[in-house]
Amino acid sequence: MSLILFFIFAILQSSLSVDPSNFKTCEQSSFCKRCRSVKPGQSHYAIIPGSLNSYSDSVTLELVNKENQHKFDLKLTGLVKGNNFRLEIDEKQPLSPRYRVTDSLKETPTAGQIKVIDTNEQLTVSIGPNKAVFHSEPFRIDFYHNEILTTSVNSKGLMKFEELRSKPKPVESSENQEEQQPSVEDEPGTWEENFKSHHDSKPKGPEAVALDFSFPEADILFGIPEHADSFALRTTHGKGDPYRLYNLDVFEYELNSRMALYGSVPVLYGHGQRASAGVFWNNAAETWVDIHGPESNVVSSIVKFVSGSVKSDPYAAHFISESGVIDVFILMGPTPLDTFKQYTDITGTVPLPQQFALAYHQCRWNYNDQKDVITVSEKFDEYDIPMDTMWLDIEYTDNKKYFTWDKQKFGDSIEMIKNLTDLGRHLTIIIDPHIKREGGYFFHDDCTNKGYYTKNKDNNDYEGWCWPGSASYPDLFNPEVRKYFADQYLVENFKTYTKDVMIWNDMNEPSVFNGPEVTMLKDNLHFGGWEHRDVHNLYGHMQLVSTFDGLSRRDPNQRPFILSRAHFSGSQRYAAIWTGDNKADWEHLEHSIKMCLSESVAGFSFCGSDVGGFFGNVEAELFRRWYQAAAFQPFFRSHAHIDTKRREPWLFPEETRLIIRDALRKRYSYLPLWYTMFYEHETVGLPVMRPMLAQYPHDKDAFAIDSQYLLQDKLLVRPVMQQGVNKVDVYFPVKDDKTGDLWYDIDNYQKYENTGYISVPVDENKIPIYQRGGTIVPKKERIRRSSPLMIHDPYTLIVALDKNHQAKGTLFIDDEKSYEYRSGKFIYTEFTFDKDTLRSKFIGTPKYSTNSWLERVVIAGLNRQPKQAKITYEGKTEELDILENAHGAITVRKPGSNMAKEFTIQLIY
Amino acid sequence: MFFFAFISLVFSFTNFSKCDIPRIRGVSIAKTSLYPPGEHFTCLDGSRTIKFSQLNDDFCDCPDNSDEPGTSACPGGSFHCANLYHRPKTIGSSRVNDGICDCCDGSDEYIQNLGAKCENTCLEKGREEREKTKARQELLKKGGLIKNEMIMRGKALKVERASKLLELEKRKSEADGIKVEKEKIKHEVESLENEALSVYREMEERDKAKQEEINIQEAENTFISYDTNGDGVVDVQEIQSNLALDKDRDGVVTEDEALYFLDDKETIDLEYFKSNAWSRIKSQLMIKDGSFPPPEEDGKETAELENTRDEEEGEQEEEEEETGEGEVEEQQTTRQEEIQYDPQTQQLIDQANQARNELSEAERVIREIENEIKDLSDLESREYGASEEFASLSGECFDYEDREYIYKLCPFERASQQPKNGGSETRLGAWDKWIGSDDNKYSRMMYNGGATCWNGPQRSADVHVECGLENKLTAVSEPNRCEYSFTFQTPAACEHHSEHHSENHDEL
Repeated sequence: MSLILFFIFAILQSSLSVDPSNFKTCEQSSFCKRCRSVKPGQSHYAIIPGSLNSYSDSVTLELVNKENQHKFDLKLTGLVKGNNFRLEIDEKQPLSPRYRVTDSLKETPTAGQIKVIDTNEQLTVSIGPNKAVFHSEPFRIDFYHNEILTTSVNSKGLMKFEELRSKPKPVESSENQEEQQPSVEDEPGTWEENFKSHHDSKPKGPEAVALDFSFPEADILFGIPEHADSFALRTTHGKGDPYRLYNLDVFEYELNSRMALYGSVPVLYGHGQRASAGVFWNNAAETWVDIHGPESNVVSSIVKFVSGSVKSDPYAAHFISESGVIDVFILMGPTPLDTFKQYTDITGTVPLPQQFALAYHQCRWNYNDQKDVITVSEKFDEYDIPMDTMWLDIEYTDNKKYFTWDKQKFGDSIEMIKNLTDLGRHLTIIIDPHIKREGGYFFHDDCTNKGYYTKNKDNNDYEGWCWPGSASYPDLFNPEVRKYFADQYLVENFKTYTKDVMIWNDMNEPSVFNGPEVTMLKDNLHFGGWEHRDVHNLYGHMQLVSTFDGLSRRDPNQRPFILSRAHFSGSQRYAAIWTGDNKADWEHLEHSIKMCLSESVAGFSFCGSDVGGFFGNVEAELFRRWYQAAAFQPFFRSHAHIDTKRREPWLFPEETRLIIRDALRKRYSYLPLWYTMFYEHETVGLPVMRPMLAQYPHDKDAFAIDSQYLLQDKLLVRPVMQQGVNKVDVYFPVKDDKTGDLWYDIDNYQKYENTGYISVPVDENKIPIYQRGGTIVPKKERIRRSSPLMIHDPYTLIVALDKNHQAKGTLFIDDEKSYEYRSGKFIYTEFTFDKDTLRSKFIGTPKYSTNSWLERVVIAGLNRQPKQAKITYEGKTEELDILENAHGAITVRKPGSNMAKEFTIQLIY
Repeated sequence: MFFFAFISLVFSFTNFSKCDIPRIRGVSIAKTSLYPPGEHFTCLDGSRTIKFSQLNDDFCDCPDNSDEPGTSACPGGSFHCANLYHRPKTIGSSRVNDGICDCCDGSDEYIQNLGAKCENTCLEKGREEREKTKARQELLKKGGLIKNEMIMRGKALKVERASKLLELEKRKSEADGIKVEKEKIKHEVESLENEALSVYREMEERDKAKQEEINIQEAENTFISYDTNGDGVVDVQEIQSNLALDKDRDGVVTEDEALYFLDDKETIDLEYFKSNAWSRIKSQLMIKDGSFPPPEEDGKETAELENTRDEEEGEQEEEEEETGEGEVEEQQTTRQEEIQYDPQTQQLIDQANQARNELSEAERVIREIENEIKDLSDLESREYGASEEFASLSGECFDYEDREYIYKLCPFERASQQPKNGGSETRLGAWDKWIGSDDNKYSRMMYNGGATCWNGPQRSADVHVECGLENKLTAVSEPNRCEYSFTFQTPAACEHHSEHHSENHDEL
């Protein structure tokens, strides 16, 4: 009986989640297996004495692999921004050029002045407070910030750089045998590899690169998204597979897994109480990252302990890539925020989205026809629930041919779009990179005739299987193909849509249903003769480059909005991302935060998850809690699989509908904060959604927390993510001086002064969120049908005082749509509260005018109640009423001043 | 610009007002008295008193939202637009000054510099709506006439059903009467039959006992004749010496053959011989002297018999109720047929058989009538609308074709779907019930329990019934996977009375 149950369970399990055997393990991937088997402490690489060349911004050296005398060029460059280093290693004379990734970079990083000290003992290269100390044999570089060793390269000696070589010819006669160099026997899989029914011809043979990075100061490693796992990286060395970075379309992915997912962002951080550092491994080939934990080598730590060394083996990350070169940026910190900024300095930030993109998105696979779209939009109004964007998944097309409509169901697409835009709403439609192979379909004909498709190893158009059936994949590495694809977005080409329609690029890993691991063959060929192997993780990125170009040219006055599933370092410059095809269960809700936190520190501040879970029917309680959680995550979209029951909010019981409505309204009321945070993200480069350690780098207990997070340094968000609970534990962090901040419940201004875990009661309406004392948050409390309709609405400021009765905050205002802000047409205001006075002061000169005015100021944390207030602006003074608010907070009634004017509000006792 | 356009915020002057009292913006005439001019205003829920100047000053002071009827300041408030020449309308405060013209008189967008320029379209809208209403009224009127016919037909059908039911019930009570009568006759005749047959039964039993006695005697005699050495047991050799026991007729009684007759024993005594060996030996002896058919054939016959039995049983299962005790007894009679009865007894048996047959015939007639009554009450139990207006649709079917499928709706029976490119029909559901809202029950039908979807629920169809001049399926969609939505037009849904008091203008 129990055995039968077990089998039934097993069958259910297998039908509900991914089959891991469809994806490679490190052991099944020959380069990973080879590199991972390198023994630590026996590095064969050494600096060739006398090979140093010093330049004003860099040094070059030669390395040699002492096993076979193969030589390599090494270059270490000092970078202007952040005083970081870039380390590049390539073969001195490769048989053929090796791929170097450039598309991830925002621009060519500017090199800065370095100082070189070359004594007989060691070579030191320094820039600002940072220095790199070279060790010749075995090769190693130690990176110091202010004399603290934070990162060490090849200190474990796991470096491996497989030089390109000709395939050994099969032995023919005994005469030849004598002439042949005695060489190590190549393992099977080195010169060709099979997985399942797929064959990889590996024309260049073994060409992997691998290097280890130790972080002596780190108590936690994090980064390298995208994985459905905890924020803190787990030790993988000796404990199963490494983290894998290889963009894949994984059907019903597993949680708590190191398996590859849709995106690959090879940036990793090591953080400890004394210092933070990071490495950005700029390589787009399949990559594995093996994490060595301090506990992984018990023997050596005991030895070190006995010998008097206090620190055990430090955390280390062993990066292993299948091809390309070693191109690493060492992010020198010393704080977590510094490292995040150093990373976005190199790869770029998320450009300020249009306001609507930060509002709520309503999606489903699929809204059936234009009437369905309009009806859903109308229903949101009927139930007075704000909504900004309707989405169309693949079924809107004529048989999955992108840039066409199903004429039966969407015969009047322009009218449907107008119906939405008349209410300030938008439409987003899906455009995938697979192209249906159907004669007469213009896109296919053009690609075929012009040779735009990715080629297979025999240089014929590669054919795979995807939504349309037989499909081919434009070679987006070819600039001409990118331009062609981009041109299709122009309204003169796609006549049945408008420039208000935004774009969703999905399946761009690329997903190939019948390919190895559901993607393209590695020996396929791209522009410039590069193998797909070299560029795989960039394929989706190149589609985004093309889409962004198309939308920018379509309407230069409108900031494009693009959502992508695949992503690589730098993709944040073009698109928002989401965590792909998740599932309607509580654990997936929890992972929405873990995953977006990892993405956030890796440049992807515009991150979200499908609200409700993509697969499966969602029950009311989970659905409510998911809306509440997502209302405080950057990208906020409900989405569902075609086989699920419809789940628009009004299809649930009234109680649930109202809770969802409240969550949505709360999101809309905070849109001015979101907008300001994204402006500051673009200009400053810090993540919007932050792990606790970003703001509290000395609070060791907070390092690994991934059930709560901060929005900038202002709000602490700890959504309810468990079923049937009536309380949650909120962690209030400890500052450097061992004290805590003051935190105010945003619903009722109740003050929390203690640190550590505090259990707070929650009812079904509650989203536990706290505003930090010392901050001022802008809001708009009038709820409209869609966010563009809020543009003229007045502002509310929430002033949360710290222990010194001070606070400050900012507000960014512009047209919420165009690029005019880049030529200064904005109002950027800093608010400060000190000595019972709230002051606004412009940062820069405002060149934008607005109808918006200041509706109210709420002040929490005063220790006595003022009688009234006085506002002064433009030389006039008005008296203002004070209204009582909850928990001792007060409301200054209707200051009324236009937001384009500086003002002072003084409390009078 | 501080308190910009204060007057224009609080008050609105309509050129068409009959009197010159300024009206509070966003308040209907009916509610104007709740906002008496004065120094103060008390929130309508009585919770707070504020300065009159705080009325419509674009800041929400009253928890019940009553102080800002004309602005968007109170999130849950409402705004009244007069819409002269059209219908007045109450919209949510969130619609005020949001750049979208929600009132046809444009009164919701009164701050001109916010981008929305609202033309007054009430005259036009009013006309349009009146035309639409007129067209609608006409449709309802024409549809109503047809509906009346349908009601007549429906009622006639109801009467027809009622009279048919009455007739059936009459027939049933007649049949019940016949059944009682036949039961009585059967009872009488069978008791006579029983009495007559009891003589024969006793006789038969006596014969049987006698036969048994003879048989035992024969066994004992045979035992004695076989026990040639007289040791009181029969052994293999003694059997082997009897050529009559040569089973395979090869001229020898083998040891195996002997053991067969001795029931695999070396020796047996008289008692064992009688109880275990004699029946085999006797059969063999009878075969030998030709008084008994060989056992092989016997087996075949039994098999055939069993087959027939099986078939009969099959039939019995299908018509379970129809098989009475009569048949079982009939079989007994067949077996007794070998016995020759005296003419008087035979006559009684014949009479009893006839009485049994007549009773089962009477019962069959009753069952038939009962089935007819059940079918009829099934039809009767389906609601055909308030006045039987949908009744005449029962038994008809309507098609709708889209790109891929032909959908079929047979009201009160089923909904289905058939692919156009061939392939079999998929059942979307069987008639369940009316599921319209309480005030309009007959506006939606539910058909459920259809074919189960792969990886999904059972299919179902929700049929929205609308007024139209002919019976027609006008749309089919699948808003949820496997949950279909049909739109069906029929004059039966034309409600003439409920829709004509919409044209009042409370502003005039």
